[in-house]
Amino acid sequence: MKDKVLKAEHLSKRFGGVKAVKDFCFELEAGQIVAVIGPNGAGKTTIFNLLSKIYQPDTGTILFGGEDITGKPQIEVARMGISRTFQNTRLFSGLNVLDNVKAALDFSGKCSMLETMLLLPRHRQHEKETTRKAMECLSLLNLADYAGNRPGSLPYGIQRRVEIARALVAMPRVLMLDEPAAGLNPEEVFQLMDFIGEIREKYPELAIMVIEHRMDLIMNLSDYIYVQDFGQTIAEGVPEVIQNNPLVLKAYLGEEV
Amino acid sequence: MSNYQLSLVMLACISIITVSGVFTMTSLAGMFSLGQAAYMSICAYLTFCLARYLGLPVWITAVAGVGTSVLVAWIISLPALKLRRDYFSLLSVGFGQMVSAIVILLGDFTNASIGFSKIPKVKHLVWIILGITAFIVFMVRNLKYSRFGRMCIALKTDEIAAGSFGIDVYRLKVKIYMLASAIAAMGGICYGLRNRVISPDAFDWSLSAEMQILLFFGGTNSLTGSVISAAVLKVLPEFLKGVKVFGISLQDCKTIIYCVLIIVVINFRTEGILGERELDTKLLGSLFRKKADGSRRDGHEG
Repeated sequence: MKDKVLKAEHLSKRFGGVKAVKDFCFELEAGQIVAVIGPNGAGKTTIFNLLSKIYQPDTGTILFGGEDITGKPQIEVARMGISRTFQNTRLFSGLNVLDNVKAALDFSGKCSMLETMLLLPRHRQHEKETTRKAMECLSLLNLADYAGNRPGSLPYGIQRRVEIARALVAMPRVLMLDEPAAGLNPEEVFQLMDFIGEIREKYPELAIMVIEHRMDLIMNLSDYIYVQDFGQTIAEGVPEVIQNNPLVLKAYLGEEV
Repeated sequence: MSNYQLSLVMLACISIITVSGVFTMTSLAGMFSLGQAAYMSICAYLTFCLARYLGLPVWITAVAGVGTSVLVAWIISLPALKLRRDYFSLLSVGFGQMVSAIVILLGDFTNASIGFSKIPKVKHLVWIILGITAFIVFMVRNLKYSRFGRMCIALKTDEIAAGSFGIDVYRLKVKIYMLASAIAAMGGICYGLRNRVISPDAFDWSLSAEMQILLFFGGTNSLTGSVISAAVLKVLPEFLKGVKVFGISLQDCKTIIYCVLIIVVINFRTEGILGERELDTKLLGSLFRKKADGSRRDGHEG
């Protein structure tokens, strides 16, 4: 049996009177793709924000590689190796693609501010190292051609992929994709599915968690699915089971059970 | 060069130093401060008062002055940078006024509003100031293209996204604020050495605002643009001295001219004159590439 990389137990979060997430339990193994699906307002993004510690959960615990990270701040969790993308791509518009990817590695730099301002060796070494890693990552994901472009000048589909590359460059153990297909046209969605498949081949140890409400994308990609509705998990299982679950059909289509 | 010309060179240099300082915090990290002149004030008064009353050489007290400014910046930034950006700007105005008020309160030492003029004369001042200016611009340029520059631009765009890539937004902002204040402090010393008199009025909020105007005029994200506009716009009024329109000296209209310029720039070139362009090999390269692209496209159409 493989180790559980990320595990959440009984997570809850409320905003005022609204229970955005109720008693959410979940597990993620290395090399696995797990999806969280559900209609709008089901609390999917809240789950992501809880796991990446942008929000603090009201109750419950989060375990990362067996370690309790419930009380840790966002930055520390990010540095430990939980990486994410956002629903609306949040690339750094003031930086070009290469620098965007490099920025994800910059926290690890050892050189002080004074050293960088005087161009001392440790600064040069950091620049060389990050440029190499970033270019390696971009080439691996066939994005090297865009390295010099500003994100704003690229098509949305490419921006998405750059955002995923940025999340991958620091070699995280968990990658969380928040609605990667949102705003993409059908052709771009197919390209994205291939892209995620490629990532899986090239980073076999990576655990991926996806939020999505496009069923086609989810059913083909994921190994295991959690279905959320009104903050609660209404079903979980492998895609074949989920596809035929009457509760899921009801939540999605409003069908009579 | 005549003494007058030398003093203009120094004026331009001091302006470049202070604007470079503001560049690090506003252009890189997105902190809009209207209180940077306060650090010039703190440092200048401390440096020259210590030199005067303790009889120490200026370069020693200058170190103390810059050190104290950085310390003050650290203390101020700890609570201030927890605030949202707009509140931080408000707080910086208040801080600037507070420093002016303290200078006047300590009138026994600082000579209050009359101005403190017992500033030692330094030989080869032009060269010293030119050297400091070049050094600071060099350092700020390197900072922009370093990991700190990238992290700053990242957090300026999106603090939450920056945080999710392990960037410690708060600590980085504090560091940059301290750096910007140290640079402003050095500008303050140069100002004192050049003018041989410092008064609280010289460092009030309008000087801080002027730094921001110069920065935005030259190009919010361009160090080259900021440096050029800092030098040119600061020296320009000196050339307007003799010019009279309807019997009014244009130099007296300096503020009005600045304001009109800034309104024009903000309306027609939101990014400032140079936008994001920098003077370096990259810009030259892109110019050539653009030319090549243009000719290729022409060829394609033909």
